[in-house]
Amino acid sequence: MARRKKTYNGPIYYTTYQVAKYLGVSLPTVVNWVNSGLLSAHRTPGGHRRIAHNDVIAFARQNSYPIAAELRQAGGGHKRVLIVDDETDFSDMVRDYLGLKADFEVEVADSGFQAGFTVARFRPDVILMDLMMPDMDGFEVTRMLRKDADTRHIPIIACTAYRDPEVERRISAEKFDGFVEKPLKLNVLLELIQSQLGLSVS
Amino acid sequence: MGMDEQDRIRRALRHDLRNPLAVILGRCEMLASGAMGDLSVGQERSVEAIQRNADRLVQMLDALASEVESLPFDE
Repeated sequence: MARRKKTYNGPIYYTTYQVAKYLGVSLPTVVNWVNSGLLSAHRTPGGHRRIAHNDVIAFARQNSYPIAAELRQAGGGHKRVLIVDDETDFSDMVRDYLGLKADFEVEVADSGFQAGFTVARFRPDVILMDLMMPDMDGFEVTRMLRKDADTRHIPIIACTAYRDPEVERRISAEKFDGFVEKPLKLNVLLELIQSQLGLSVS
Repeated sequence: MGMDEQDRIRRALRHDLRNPLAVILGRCEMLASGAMGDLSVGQERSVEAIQRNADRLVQMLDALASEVESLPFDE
């Protein structure tokens, strides 16, 4: 039986020099971003700055820097997608579809409360968020994630079967990164997820 | 019809009944795309018929919801 090569799927970190190269700016510019808190970084025991891949992507997206193909590929591993929906048949279907059509790692949370825990552990690259859930709805979970510096940059695609002018107003107010209405075309959802991840649309 | 009852029916038509239809239509799309394997001619025709009729149900639900929303409710 062929042995599967083990791959590292954890966070990837860059030096300030690498970030400068990927974003096409000078090294002092990146150091300045880090020192002024615009770009998150941590220090190694030796005092060197290290910047997480996801933070570079979020920073580039927020400040309209083009995401170089090299940077996208350097992310490596599988992109992580979290589906938050209390309709388990629906989330199972989306998970199956994404598994068939794309090389994503997918997890499901079936309530708003569970979503909070899963985001902290799974660190998704994109979230498909059902809006109408009992107890804690998708709007509330999204507000909570937007308040947290660790999660506010994660793109969130709103999803609901219930669309009326009030829901549309709230979707616009919460600044979701995308919106799909159930029933939906799965290929359209896949394109939306790929575009939020900065991947070329299949 | 009271306001609460109208709201309940409206929610069922606009939300509750659309969720199962989303699953039916999505699973049909997966089958029809060939991602789960090739379909025989008969299977393909069956999936298309399920899709077509589920689409009709979505349209009927929307029309019914609009009708319910336009009804005056009892004070």
